[in-house]
Amino acid sequence: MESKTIYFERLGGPTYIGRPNGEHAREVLKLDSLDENKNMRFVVDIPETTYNINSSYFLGLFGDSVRAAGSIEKFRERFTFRTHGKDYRVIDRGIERALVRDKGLGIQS
Amino acid sequence: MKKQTYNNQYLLQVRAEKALKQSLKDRSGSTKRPPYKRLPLDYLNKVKPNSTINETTEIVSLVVPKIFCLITNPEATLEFLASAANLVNFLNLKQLVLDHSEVEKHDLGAEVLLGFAIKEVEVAANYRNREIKISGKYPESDRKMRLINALGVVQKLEVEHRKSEDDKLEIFDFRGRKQVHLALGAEDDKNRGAKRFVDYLNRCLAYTKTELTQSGREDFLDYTGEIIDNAERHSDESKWYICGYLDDTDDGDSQQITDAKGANAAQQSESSDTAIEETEPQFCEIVIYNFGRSIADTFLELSDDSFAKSLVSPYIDHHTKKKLFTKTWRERDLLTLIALQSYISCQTKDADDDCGQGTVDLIEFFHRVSEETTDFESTHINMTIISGFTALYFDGKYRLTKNEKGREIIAFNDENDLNEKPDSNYVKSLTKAKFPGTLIAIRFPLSAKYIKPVEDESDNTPS
Repeated sequence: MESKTIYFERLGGPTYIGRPNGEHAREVLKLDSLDENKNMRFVVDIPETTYNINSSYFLGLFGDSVRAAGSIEKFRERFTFRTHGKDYRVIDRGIERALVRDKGLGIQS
Repeated sequence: MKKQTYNNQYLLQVRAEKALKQSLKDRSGSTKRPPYKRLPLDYLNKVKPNSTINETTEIVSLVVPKIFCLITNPEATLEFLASAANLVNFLNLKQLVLDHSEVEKHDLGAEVLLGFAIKEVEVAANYRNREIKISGKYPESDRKMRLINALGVVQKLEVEHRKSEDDKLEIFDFRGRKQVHLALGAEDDKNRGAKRFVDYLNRCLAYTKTELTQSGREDFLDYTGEIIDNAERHSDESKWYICGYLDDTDDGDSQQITDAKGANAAQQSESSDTAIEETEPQFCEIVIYNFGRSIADTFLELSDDSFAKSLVSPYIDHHTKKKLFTKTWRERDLLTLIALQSYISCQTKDADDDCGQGTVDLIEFFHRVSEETTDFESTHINMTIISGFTALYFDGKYRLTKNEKGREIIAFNDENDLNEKPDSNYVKSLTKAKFPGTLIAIRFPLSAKYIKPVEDESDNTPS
């Protein structure tokens, strides 16, 4: 089992905002190719000094990984978030949103 | 008859006379368009104002409307702003008087944009080597005057004004620019602006020895960050603007109390008036705006075979088939409304794309604050999103509700059904004026649940 730690403080901070920033971080971390290795496990270290991670940043960075995992449980199995005691609601919210498929609202005539 | 020949001396004289005439013409500034007009002003005065003022006049007096609010009176306010911006075409203008004396209600967005427009008119005139004498009349209320001084036309023109030591104002004025080259780890304007804005809010709360809770801070940042993200992604312009204003000054002629009484005059008793005076929460105003394409424009420009277009087309087709569109409910209004819904964005590329989150976050935050605010009806939150010719108004009456597919929907009708027309009081189709871009304006009380007492009373420094 391989493991990689993603240190958020190396990605910027203390605020993490913007989908392009999240996507750029994903590109630099080469998460697309790392995701293909099903034996890879990730630890995401979020420093205590973090002010906020917003939804778009999270989705830009992890959205494709969530969908590659296919479920909340499988994603959580692969990605462990080390938050130093803080509760980041954006994590659960982001995972949930990334998994919602079938875009569109459905129109009833 | 001897043929007239032109010798060199005569030709030189003719040429000199022509050159002199041209030079005099250039100096008098009688060109049809002023040579200087910055892009934002050009956006503002693209809307043809319904003005009867002759553009050759030298003296103009603009009377600011009584309800000068983008949130509650968008069309008339935007129309007035277009008139102000159009002054850039008054090439003979020497004197301008801005008369706020009749203003009964105003908001941050209206005053900020007015200041913006007048400043640009002044700069354009200076560029033509002309000077415009600008003066004005304040409204009666000190509270209104403070806003104009802090972030309105007085501030933009850098006019010296009376300040009181008792004034308790917290002002935020940030201009950001889209990051072209993303450097990992570097702080861009988006992050800097959002963080500073939260710090600003904590400074506001320090007046009452309170601060944002962690969740409050997270939510404010999330909300602000998402809006800025949207502004950068959907705007032609690389710039966005965010303003904040909190007036915690204690004076007897509070606009909040005036508004409260005005909003509920028929229902309030004397005891509730006293209760409002004693416990009126702080109101914070936020305005975030960018110039460029409107929300509807970005969808209209999509190719018919784009995935994003396929998401909205069924709605357009349905409303067309049912003949629901009218002069007050148009296709672009529907597009703007649809864009608010979750997972709908002009950037959505395929079914896996989770774009379309920002506005949902904004609405969710707004509703959370609305739910947790005080019981006073007068402290309801007002919010508007104005994009192009469509203005959406929020006051908590219509809610974002999840459907069976887990999508948040807000349709602005009792059925919460996007198949039906929305309430025209909440989804307004503007005809006389528009906002050339997207503007979000919010006025809300800071909720008790987001606020906690600072633990050490001797330390008022926000964390």
